[in-house]
Amino acid sequence: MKLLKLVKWYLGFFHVWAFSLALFFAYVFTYDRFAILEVSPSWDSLVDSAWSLQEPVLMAAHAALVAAVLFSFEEGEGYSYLRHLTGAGRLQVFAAKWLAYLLLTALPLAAARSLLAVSWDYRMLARPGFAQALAKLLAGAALQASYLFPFYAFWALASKRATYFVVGAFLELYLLESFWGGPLLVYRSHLMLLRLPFDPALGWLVRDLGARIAASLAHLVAAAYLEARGEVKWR
Amino acid sequence: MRVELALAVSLALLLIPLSFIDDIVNPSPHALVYTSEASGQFPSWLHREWYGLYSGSLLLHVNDTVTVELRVSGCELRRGVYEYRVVHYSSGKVYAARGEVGALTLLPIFTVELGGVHALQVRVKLEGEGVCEYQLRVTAVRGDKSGYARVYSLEAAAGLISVSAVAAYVAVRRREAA
Repeated sequence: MKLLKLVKWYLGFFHVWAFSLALFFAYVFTYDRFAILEVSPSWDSLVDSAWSLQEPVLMAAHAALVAAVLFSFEEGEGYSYLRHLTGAGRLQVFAAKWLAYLLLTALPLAAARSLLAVSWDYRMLARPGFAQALAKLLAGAALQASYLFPFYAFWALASKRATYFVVGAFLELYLLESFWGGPLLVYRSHLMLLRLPFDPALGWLVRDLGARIAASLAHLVAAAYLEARGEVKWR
Repeated sequence: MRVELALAVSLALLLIPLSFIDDIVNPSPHALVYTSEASGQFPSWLHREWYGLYSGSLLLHVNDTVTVELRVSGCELRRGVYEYRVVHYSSGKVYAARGEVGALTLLPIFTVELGGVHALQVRVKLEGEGVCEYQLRVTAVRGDKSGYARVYSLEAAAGLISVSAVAAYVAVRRREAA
């Protein structure tokens, strides 16, 4: 009954879902149900217009907390048990963590946006392109989440305690409002990457975010190395 | 697991309408009123032809109103006709009006019946001497939302009742287990 055990482990871990649900409500709260907006007549634009000023920071803070749960605690919230059950390697577990992180952070955002689009005009549901717009929305949210993932994963693995990591990540978000600006460019990357599937402006992306994306990939390699090596030496 | 699911559903029933009621009571100022202005000259060779002055799409909600104001100046206007069309994108419902254009024309006020994306279009046909200049102003204003408030209050009440029912069930089960 290996499969049953796996399902049980999955459900046990996914109590973090409760926090994702709370975040879904937070997103809905920040959007304006009765906003009068200039849009283009399509599903894409409806899903794309559900936006608020607080959304990028909320998403990044959520991503940091999920990364703290996945990487900072001893053997990552029962993932050693997963390895024991399935015989998966460390890098496979790293990929599984990435997938869980994507589900936990991208889903509430996409769900809140689509809820707002549907409450704006439910008749749009019957029109073609609804499923496509939702898929684009999910892909955009996953892109932004994946951009932040390597930074948070690496910092969580490398910092001595979860508290240090979380305080550092939140400080980085706080810098958005300051003279130095947030080094991760959370706002700009959020706006660009979430819209990328709707409007693939790759030139702008490379110009504005090229260096950050390269840094993100470098962090990914470093985090995968630390994860594959097992226990971090200086912990 | 079933209890968690019931709790999630009833929380959604409670919190989503509450946040929508908050949007009615404390609207965000930058999405409360929409204004767009356009101005320009009619090319004289376009006289007697339909000329599009404005076309745009707005996300509007029930009871919002759209006002269009058109000013024409600088020419001797003999005759002018406007055509004003609003199309509700998802249902395909068309609202249209036609009328005479003067120096200052207020097009009929459009009150939204179905929420959603609306495509607006204003075009005119002018006859006259000289070069006509026009100024067009489109204003969309939030209308009465008390009907929405009533529906959302009922939903929130249903959510509150179901949250308390789930909480009571959990309390009873815990006492039985203890």
